[in-house]
Amino acid sequence: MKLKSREIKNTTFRRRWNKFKNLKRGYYSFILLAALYLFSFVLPVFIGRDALLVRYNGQYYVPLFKHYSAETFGQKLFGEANYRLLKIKFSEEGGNNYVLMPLYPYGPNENLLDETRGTPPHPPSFSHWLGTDDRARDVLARLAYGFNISISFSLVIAMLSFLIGTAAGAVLGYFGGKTDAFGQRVIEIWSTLPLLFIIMILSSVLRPDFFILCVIMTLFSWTGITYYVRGEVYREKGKDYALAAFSSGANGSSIIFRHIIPNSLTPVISFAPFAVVANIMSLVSLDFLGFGLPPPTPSWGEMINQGMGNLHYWWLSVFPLAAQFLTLLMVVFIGEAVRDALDPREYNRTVRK
Amino acid sequence: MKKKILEIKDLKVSFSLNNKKGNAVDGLNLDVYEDEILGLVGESGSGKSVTAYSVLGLISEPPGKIESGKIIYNGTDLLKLSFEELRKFRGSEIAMIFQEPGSALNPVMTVESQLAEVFNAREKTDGKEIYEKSVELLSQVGIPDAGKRIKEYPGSLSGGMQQRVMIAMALAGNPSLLIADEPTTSLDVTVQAAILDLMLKLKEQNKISSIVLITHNLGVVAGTCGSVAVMYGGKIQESSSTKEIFLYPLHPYTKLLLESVPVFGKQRGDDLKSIPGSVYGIYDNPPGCKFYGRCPAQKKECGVTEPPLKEIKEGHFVRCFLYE
Repeated sequence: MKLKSREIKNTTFRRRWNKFKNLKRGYYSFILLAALYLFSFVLPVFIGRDALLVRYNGQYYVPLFKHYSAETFGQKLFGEANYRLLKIKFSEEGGNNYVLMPLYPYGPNENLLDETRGTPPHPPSFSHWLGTDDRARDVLARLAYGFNISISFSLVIAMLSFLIGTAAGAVLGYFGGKTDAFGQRVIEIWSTLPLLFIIMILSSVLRPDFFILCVIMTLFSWTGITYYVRGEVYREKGKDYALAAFSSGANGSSIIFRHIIPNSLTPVISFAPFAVVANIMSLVSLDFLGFGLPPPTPSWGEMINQGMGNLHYWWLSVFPLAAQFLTLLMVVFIGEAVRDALDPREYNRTVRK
Repeated sequence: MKKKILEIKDLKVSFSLNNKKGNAVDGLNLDVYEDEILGLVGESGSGKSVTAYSVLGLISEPPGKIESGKIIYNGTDLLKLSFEELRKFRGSEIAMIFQEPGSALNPVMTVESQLAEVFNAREKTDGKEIYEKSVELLSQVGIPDAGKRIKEYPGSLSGGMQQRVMIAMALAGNPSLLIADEPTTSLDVTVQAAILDLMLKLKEQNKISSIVLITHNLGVVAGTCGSVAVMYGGKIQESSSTKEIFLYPLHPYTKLLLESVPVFGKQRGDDLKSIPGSVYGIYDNPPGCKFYGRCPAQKKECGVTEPPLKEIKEGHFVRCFLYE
């Protein structure tokens, strides 16, 4: 009984969700990408330099959550303990002490010069699956951590800019008239400011970190969606249900937020995946040019830049490019599926071929 | 003498398009008395809906503009009020139901939350009380199994049910005047009858004092309204009690409208009468009588000056040179 009443609920959303599920390419891309992204939050458990658990002289340490100096474990090193070396040492000693390392025991920012033979970059090998870069850092670890940063960055910007863009578009569309005309001119002027130069100038003044970069990017990417939301709000405002809400004495904010905006979100939803693509691309280009996240942050753009500087070390360019290509491809698949799911036509023109 | 609840005086509403301006409502006078159902009749484009929208301040500016006139509701001129002041009248004094119930309900809100909004527009009431009141209202307007239906979205209700929900929403504010803008036009004939019966019943139970029923269906008028105003070209052409209008129509337009009603039992092959021509656009405003050109009884002077609205018999007004 309860199930039945839930089935009636929100039939439009349910129908669209079911349609999205039927668009296999997009749906599986969505599942895979979502799983990978969630997985990337617990990455240190699987890929990282910090041991999960250390038993040393009868005591347990969890380096995953707390930093220990090398001296804690009797290592003759400066700074933090090196758990890989510690593991080798313990197994040579053969005592009760042991180290439990992550599956892939290399961190993204770790210089492995001391533990590798020859000069970096090292080609893919059994211990470094995708090789190391020119500073002897593990490529796989950097790729994996860079994935999280790429997606987080693009999602945060997409959300912030859609929030601002929707609000601005709603104001323009709802109030119309002079507000609309004036607001649109302001937005047009704002959107002609050259993003790249401003970021260059800003990054010479302040050192951009993740959040500063997010804020800067948001400031320059919110304008795109306003036009669509403005148009939708304009249309929805004139519909009977908005008039009905007015005529029943609803106040302005309730009409905007409860009636008009929820009905104007279709462009926002269908643009979201493509905005994510654009944001991933812009982070990569900024990092590639060196105006993005500060080193040694594992970023894909920086890796591609390094690959271009070392063209004969093929793994430095092939793997980051492949990772980026696959990620973007999946997001585009999701975007297509979302667009088709929101399309009221049952069959689109591409079906018959 | 009955008390006037709504008095529209010399209302002019214009719409501008591409630097052209035209009056959709052009000097309209209309009185709605307490405890009556007034039928506002006319074909599409005669300004009925614009009149209704003006009362509740729903004309969007631009392109619309209320040029002049007064809309006096119980002594207050609604046109002089600010948005916030007018909001106190909307829903709680004057409510409106629309032609297309399917589009007049918000598709992404449940019936419950839409009803709750009407209640909350007046005073914050606690959720449980609102729920109980809403279910009671829905049962009153004849929705079976209201406790369950209230959780549904408008899309899963039939047209008749949607219109009942609209009526419930209109009643939720406990208004004195209900403006029904073609409430049955988009419904099946059987459902139309049920909705009209419901409105009559609510009127008899004194849930609402007065109703303005906007329609182009004279059959609907005959069955429900106490008095009728016939509108054409943004003006009242004839107004009287329903009985008087149906028995002794004076204006040629009214006569033609009455002749255009399909009659049951007519012979096959008989033509259904219609009025030749169509309503002129509001941007090409011809001089003289608004009906000049389509009128079978037109005289020369009709194309030059416009006849005034005259009281021919007691309570029977007509705007035509034939009666002088």
